[in-house]
Amino acid sequence: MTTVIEAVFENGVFKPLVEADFKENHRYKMIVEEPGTESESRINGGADATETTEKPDTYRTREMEWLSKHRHEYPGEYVALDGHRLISHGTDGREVYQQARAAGVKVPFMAHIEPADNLPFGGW
Amino acid sequence: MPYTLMFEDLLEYDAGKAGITVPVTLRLGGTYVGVEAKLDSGSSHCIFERLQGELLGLDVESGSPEWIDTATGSFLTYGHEVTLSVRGFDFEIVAYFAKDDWFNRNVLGRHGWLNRIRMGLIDYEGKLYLSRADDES
Repeated sequence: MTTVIEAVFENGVFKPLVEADFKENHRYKMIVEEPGTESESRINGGADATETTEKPDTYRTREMEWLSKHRHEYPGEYVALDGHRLISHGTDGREVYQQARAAGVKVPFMAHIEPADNLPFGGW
Repeated sequence: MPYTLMFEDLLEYDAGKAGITVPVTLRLGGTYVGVEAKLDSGSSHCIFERLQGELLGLDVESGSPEWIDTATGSFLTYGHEVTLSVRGFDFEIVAYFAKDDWFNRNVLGRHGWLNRIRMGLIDYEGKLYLSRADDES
């Protein structure tokens, strides 16, 4: 039986991005493929190719790394990221998102950068 | 008496940033949005800026209206059923989207997040340990 799932490679191991019914300590054979390839439509069993084709990495490790290093450069702006790449930025979140989509990024990671002089947030 | 907890996942966040900020993905049907959100144990709900609801394709005002009370006033939100994903954890929740554009925060609160997750926090190390609340490990 062949099961196709999405996984992310992080800290030296592959982690499934969906719940998968695998047996603990059982050996499986892996075929590693980059997203965007022909068989991607079969990911997660192919129940809904439209949904699964666009499922993004929910770990967003690279985007969070980028934000740690660069958020201070864009105070008060929205940034749209794809991995370690800044795709677009500006004060209008909708425009920033549309620019990222126009650049071919299906699910840009959006962040609103708080200005450094913002008052501390007190919660609700 | 010492207590021991086990967790499935470790998220290392930027401890130098104001608030504990985590990457969140919201899904509605086949549409996804990825955003930053802050953990907020003082918030009853998971609340997102209007922009995120619109990017999901929602008619924000068609949701169930809910006023959110704060120490300094209140604001109106609308609840919609969406899928919330944080790292490998997926939950079907009612997320609340602010009516007004000026609201530009995303927060993970109690219903939909804290009541679905088991969490260990070491803030001075920027470490957030996570498991599903129903994980018995």
